[in-house]
Amino acid sequence: MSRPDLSLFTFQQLMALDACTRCGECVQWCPTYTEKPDLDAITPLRKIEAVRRFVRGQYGLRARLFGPRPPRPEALQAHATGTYDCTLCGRCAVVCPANIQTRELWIAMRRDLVRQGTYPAVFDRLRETFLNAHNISGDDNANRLIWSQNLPQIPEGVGKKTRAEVVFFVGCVASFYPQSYSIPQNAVQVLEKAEVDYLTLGGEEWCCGFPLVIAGMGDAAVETMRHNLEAVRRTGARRLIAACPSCYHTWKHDYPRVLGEPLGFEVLHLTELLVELLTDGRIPLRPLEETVTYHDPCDLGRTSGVYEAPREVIRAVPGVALVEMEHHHQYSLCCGGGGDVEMADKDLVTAVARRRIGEAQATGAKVLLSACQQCKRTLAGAARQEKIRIRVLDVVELVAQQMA
Amino acid sequence: MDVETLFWVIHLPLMVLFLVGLADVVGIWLQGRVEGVGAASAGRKFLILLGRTLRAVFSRRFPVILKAFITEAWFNRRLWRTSRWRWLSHFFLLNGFLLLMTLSGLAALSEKVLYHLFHLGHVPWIAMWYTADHPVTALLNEIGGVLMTVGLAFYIVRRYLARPAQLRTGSMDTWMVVGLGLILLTGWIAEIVRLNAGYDGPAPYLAFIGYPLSRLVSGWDLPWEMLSEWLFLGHGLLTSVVIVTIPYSKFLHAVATALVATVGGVQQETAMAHGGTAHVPA
Repeated sequence: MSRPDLSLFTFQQLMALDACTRCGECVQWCPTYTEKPDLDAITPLRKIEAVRRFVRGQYGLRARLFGPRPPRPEALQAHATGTYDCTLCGRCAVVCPANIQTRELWIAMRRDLVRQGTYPAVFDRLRETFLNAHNISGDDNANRLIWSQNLPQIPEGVGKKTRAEVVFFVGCVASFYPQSYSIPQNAVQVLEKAEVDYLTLGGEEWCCGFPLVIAGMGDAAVETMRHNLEAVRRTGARRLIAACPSCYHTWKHDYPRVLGEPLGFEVLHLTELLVELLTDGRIPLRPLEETVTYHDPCDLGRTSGVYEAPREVIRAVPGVALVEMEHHHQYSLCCGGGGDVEMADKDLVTAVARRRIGEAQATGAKVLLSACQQCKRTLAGAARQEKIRIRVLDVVELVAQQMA
Repeated sequence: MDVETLFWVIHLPLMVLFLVGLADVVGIWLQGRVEGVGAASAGRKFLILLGRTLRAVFSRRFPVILKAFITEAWFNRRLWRTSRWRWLSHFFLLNGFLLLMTLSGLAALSEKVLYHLFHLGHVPWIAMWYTADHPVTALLNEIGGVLMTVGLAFYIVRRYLARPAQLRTGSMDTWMVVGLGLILLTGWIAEIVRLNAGYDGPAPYLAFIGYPLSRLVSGWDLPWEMLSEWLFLGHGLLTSVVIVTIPYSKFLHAVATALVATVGGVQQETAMAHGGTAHVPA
């Protein structure tokens, strides 16, 4: 039963298992290992070494000649713990001298662990919630626009239109977690100001599938992906914007690959649209004399390659001084909120976030900006816990706040 | 049976074993998905890969592949960015190895094929490769040996003496050090002994480490010629044994890392060119 299914890996990934030299560069950069140094199985090199051992023990000439050697249950369990305690931040891929694309490799490993039934039980609940409620919180999906109830006036684009140029894909966290409501609330105000022809999908918006994809349960998300694609196509939109980097990444890269067809519309992160609107002069901004810093969300920066758009938006606010943290751009430290780790190990998330908020504090900035609702939620929580006086905002909140 | 015949009798089966091992490893890799195809046979996947590789090489994308190979696999720019010392150590080891392998290959090709089969020994630029003390050959071989020795010394000091916390040293690392170390040691000794047995060309002194050392021990009363033959046999067979272990040891990274790094580099370059993202879907 514990024989890896090699068809869950690509040729390149299996080759990568032999390409890792265990130089340990990744160990120095792994945000979760830094906080959990007693769990060596969490380090990228150990994950690779474990799967290599599992594969070589049961496949190939040696296994055929001398019989397969299945892994000991405790070895498999340790590997599963290490693999699911990873935030999938992808920092290891940036520093890997062998150029191993680790993030995709960890997801393939998770898929194999799911197949073998060695994964945290909490993910079964996630899958069930996802399939039944069409979101990650288990709330009634018809309440997707509950965040709009606090707006002084609910714009037409929020639940009243059926066709528009742009679909604003809100995402589960911003739709159902009150700490993040302000992101879609401010986003629609900015879109209104810029006179963008947009709409939200309301109850027709289902979770993008990202949490299941990265949990290694991507197969269960295919129908949901198809539903979302059809829902967007029905609006006749030419563009889809997502404020959530994970939704953005999933739409832009996973949907065409998994569904095997081009989407037929462009996918943008909200910050990319904001750059356009600011460049066109459609959002005049008031000055703000403030020092701010910016946290690169892993799924927007490292995973999707969008580093400059959020920074351009921040610099567009007159008077704002943007200072970088010790680790930024591709070396940015994870906030801890990724990889579904929150479901498996909350303390680990808190520890990673604490380190990141410490970096933000060290810059002397009064405002910590990000472009991700999960990062905002995680970092704001850490700031509160650590009693650090720094405001944690999404870039779109800054823009909305400074609109003339 | 003379020493050279003995070498080939042992070496050739070992190389067959090496090829079987390599095929075994590639067979495992081919059980992964290729171009999204997971269920096909290894042969079919191999053909898909081969076709794709050939199409890429004979296309306008060749410069991109070449660039990725040079920057990622050969130069290892990621290591350069991370640590200059480690980069230097790796660069010395890799290039020393490549240089010595190339010289050995050229020597075998020019002597066993071009000279013995085609009688081209009178052509100076062919004969020089199997003339150990030819200025070019002597110098290049010495440089290769020095590069590898210095690189290995760096590696040993870092992994076994300095031992930074990031390292996880295992038996595979130790085998690599022992294997390479023995090859280098026997290589140096064989060279010193050979230089005492007699010169094969006009510039033995260009072996700038081996020559002075050979002078130091030249007074010893030893059967240099016979020793030289047996030492080169030992050195050659040791190298063959290490080669056999490549598919099942850390040495495999010499093949796998070069391929992974190059392919990764090409994919990233392509992704950047199409939409400005660093992401490459699995």
